[in-house]
Amino acid sequence: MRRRVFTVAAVMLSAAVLSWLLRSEESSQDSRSVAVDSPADTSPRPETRSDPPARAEPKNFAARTPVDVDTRAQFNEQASAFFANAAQMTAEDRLHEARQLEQELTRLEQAGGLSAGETLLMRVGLIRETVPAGAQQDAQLQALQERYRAETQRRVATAQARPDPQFGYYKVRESEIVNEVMAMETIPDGLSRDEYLRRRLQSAREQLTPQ
Amino acid sequence: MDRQVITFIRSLFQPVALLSVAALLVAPPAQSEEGDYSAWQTVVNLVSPPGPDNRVTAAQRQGPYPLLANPSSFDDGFSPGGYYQWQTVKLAPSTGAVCGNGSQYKFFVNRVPNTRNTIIYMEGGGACWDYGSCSGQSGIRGARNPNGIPDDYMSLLNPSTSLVSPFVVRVHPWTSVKTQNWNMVYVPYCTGDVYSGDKVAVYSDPSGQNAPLIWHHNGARNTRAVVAWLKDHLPRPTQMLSTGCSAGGTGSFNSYAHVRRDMAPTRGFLINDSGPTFDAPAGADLALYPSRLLHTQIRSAWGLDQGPLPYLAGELPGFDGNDLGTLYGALSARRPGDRLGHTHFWQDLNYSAYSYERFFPEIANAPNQATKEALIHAKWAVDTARLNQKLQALPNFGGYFPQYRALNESHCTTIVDFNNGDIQERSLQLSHFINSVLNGQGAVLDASETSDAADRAKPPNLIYQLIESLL
Repeated sequence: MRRRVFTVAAVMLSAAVLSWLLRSEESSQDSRSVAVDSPADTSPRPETRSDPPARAEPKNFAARTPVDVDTRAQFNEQASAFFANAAQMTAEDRLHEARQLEQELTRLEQAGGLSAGETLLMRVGLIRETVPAGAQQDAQLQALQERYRAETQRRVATAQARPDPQFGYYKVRESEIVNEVMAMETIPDGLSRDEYLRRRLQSAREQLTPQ
Repeated sequence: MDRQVITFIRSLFQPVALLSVAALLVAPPAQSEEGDYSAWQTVVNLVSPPGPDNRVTAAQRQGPYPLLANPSSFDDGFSPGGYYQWQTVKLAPSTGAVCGNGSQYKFFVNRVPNTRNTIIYMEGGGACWDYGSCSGQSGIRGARNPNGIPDDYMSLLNPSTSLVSPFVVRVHPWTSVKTQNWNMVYVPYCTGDVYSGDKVAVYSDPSGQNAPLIWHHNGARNTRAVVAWLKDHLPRPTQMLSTGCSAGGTGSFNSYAHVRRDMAPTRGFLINDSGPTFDAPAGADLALYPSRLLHTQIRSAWGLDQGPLPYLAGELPGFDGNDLGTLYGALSARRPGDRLGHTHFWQDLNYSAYSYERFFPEIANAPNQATKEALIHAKWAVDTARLNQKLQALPNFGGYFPQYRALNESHCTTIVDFNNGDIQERSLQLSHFINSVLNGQGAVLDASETSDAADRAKPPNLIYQLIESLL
């Protein structure tokens, strides 16, 4: 057991120091990383500044942000340990640790990279471990449900309000190509109509996508 | 902070880092399994993420269903050092990948620094084969993501039950499985063809009011493009689990032969959760093989006979394209050293509805819901009984068939948690089966439950109700 603790501590310390060193190095070499990771980047864009404040938007998964690996690994370890040992903890300790985990979960969620499934299950677990079964637990789970539903609806609506013009153009071309191919009496290159159509549409997408 | 100060502090920390690394060298890893990196290598990986060591070969880029890479100038969005976070990986059109509606296909990767082992999770979400089902028309069971995959898909709860599975989270409050520590690949579903199709369908609106729907049943090529990317960007897995529920289960199963061949893990595992491919020989008696009509429909709609099935038969000598259910035996024989598993509920009312509801007039026109469900259950039982029997004869392909769970129409045993998939009469839990597949030796566990009485006698599960209401 002591060796395990020692190992975990050593890994954490090494990871922390190395990733700190790396981040420092990246900061000095790549100003784009700073820009992405800086607080300024998380502020609303000018055109959305008047929007009502909502939960902080998780960063785009595709964003190339330096990853706080040690923090993420440590959180996973702490959360696992909490759920494994919660039943043996005092109510006070359980509540205290659950609050810390919730805070860290929210922070990591806002930093991006956690799935909605992960955060939902984790929050359900935290409620289950800290609120006695009954009306109060039901109410908290209900509130959680509403929170996720509202957030999903908000983001889906936001996405739908911003259609991709390039995709719109492709759909027009797609329809034209389908009509053309369906009207052809003979298909070139000895291909089946299905295969020829597939290739034509792929070619159209390639032409419209920056590669 | 002043750069000189930072440099000074870093110089102070460097010996600490070296000491820590030295400590790692003398301490054994806390827990390790085949495929894990040493503690020292893990630290190195943080600094220098391991790259691919099983790249696509020139030969693999040729022939039917080639493994095609993104163009070198294409920004796929992947950051090799982005550990512990879901990263969106975009696939260029030239890879052959595309969503059903013609939008860009993308998938998601969550790396860890400490192991080569990898889980490939294929998302579930129905199926479609005509205008109504593919266009998302209400009142008809259709397919997931008819509008494509947003970049931030993983942080949206709606609409995928698959996102809430112990297989795709790092920490689960009450269900643990060793793959939670592995590299994760989440393959989203947007083609309505259980990852098997290869056809651009043009579906006319039966009402004549709307333009025809152009739908890319492109699952087979999407899967190939994902495999190509994985080979070109990540280390070869030592252990690899391919899994998913519903359409994702079917997709994992249908694609396993080629994914396993090309990813080339040392040890391969498959868990097909609730995506059965039942026996349905061409022309067979419907009373004995009730999935025959479904199979006839999808073969045509998804272009299976033209490309995907001959391609599969080429890899699996025992596979008979005229009876898709032969895939179980063929896969078992082709990969005798792999551990394979199939699981679904006897009372599944979702995949079964897709399988029979629109093909049998007596079900479609049933006088009430209870009658409809009884008819569906009866046909599902015929198919399930045969599959159960078949798997008992395949040592490396286990079958686990509990009766009922009050979640998602008893569809998918591995979503939300691994609880309540128990077979009380044998004192088995679903986790026994999963453990048998992933950690067992000898024959993979086979088990089937005969009565749903104990399952239905359980008190309501508030958490299931909550999650179900969100999905």
